Amino acid sequence: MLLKSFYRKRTTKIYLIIFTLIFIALYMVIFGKSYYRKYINESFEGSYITFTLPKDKDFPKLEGVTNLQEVVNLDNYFLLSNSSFNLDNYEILISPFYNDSKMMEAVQERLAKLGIDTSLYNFEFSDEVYTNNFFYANPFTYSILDNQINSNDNTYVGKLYDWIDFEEFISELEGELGTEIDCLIMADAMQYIDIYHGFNIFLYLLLFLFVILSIISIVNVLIDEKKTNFLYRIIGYSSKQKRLIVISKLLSLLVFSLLLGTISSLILKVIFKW
Amino acid sequence: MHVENLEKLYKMAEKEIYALKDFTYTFTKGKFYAITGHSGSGKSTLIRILGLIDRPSKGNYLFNNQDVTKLNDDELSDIRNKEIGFIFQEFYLESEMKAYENVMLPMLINPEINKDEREQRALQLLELVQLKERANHFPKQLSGGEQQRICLARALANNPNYILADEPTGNLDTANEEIVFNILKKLSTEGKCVIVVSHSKYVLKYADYVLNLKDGKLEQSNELK
Ligand SMILES: Nc1ncnc2c1ncn2[C@@H]1O[C@H](COP(=O)(O)OP(=O)(O)O)[C@@H](O)[C@H]1O
Ligand SMILES: [Mg+2]
Repeated sequence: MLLKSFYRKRTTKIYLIIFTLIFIALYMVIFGKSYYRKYINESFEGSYITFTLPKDKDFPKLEGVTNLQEVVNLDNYFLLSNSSFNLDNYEILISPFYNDSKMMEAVQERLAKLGIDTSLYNFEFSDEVYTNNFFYANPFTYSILDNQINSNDNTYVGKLYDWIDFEEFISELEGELGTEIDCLIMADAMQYIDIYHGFNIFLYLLLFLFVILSIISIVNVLIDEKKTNFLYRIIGYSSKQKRLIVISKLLSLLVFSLLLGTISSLILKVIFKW
Repeated sequence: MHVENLEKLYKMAEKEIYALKDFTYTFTKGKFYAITGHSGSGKSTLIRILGLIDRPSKGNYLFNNQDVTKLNDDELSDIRNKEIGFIFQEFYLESEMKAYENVMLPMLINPEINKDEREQRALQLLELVQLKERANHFPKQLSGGEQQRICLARALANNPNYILADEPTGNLDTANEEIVFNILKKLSTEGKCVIVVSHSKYVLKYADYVLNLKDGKLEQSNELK
């Protein structure tokens, strides 16, 4: 009954609407961010990091590093993996992702440097390679391998789960590994990161609005309550009970608008298929 | 209600005012008391102290044989809720609540009244003040006299033994004044203690006792036939 009368007030209705709109806008920004995050990571598909460590040193256990999707020792991987480089069967599969003659040349050159007679082999493009592992038959991989032949170092190649803020992550990782890390990034991918960070401005703006409106509504409710203070006093409400009423009114306003905001955002999400 | 040597001192920057001084009296259930006196004579101060809204600066106060000067604010609130019903010249109604909801308001914090009885009881009280058909109206849809009768119904919400009224008919026409005084009179004959501050000559028609205050002191108290 107390809450019902609270929502009969025009000011309460206005606060409810504004709070709901703020929550909807917050959801929009969050949806936008997660959409861009996905989009950015998709456009980074094909990018990776690479670094070297001395051959006599084991690869360190990286505890607490969760953003590293996969790290492979390129030499071992490239040459010893049986599934795609089946040297006995004279069959070499190449990812169709780089389905061009340059790719083919690079592979043959690489094998020739290792002293393998490439004329004996059957080269094929295969989806299997690409789906099995991204690192195969990627032009970057070849150039690195060429540089690393006869070196005392192992070359590692890794992918990240999330490329947002990768620069910070990489400088942290450099510290952990004690070596420099190169990033091989697909062109165009970088530009979206700025858009992603642009969303933060909206986020801060909305949070600022939220705080301001919270203060205004709290002050307003308190002023309203002060007007009825004597009324509640004469009918025997203690100050504790009165405070409880104020808190539950404010809390209900917050919960109610959050609920409305969430529901309408989800409806919008479904309608527009974000 | 027994008070002894009640004193209320308001200290202000330059001077001190005794709003009430040396007030000793016993109010009993089943009687109708009228309190008269000039403006500023301390009538409202007395009502507020008797109603446990304000504390006296000095003096003793036994409420139902309990020394209430030693109780804390929560305990006083509880007594106000269950034992005392107030009516003021200003109505103090919740503008966003319907008439019957305003009447229910004191019942919400009274565990002695069952949740599902509240509405029924509110409607009965509205019937008593002849406003049952206005139960769903908001205060601003009602006249002053009707609003005051809502206040009266609310004052009776928890069936208190004491009804305190401070110029309840100050804003009312004589027709409404008569309704209010008649109900108050009926309540006193049913065993409640009714104390009414009023300038109206009319009140003397209903009162069993009349107390006259002057400069915070009880100047005269008479029993009326
Ligand atoms: N809160 C207060 N602060 C200071 N003085 C007050 C206060 N309330 C009442 N008074 C003074 O106490 C005296 C009695 O006031 P009150 O009880 O309201 O008189 P009445 O109701 O008989 O007109 C007046 O002189 C008034 O100015
Ligand atoms: Mg007065």
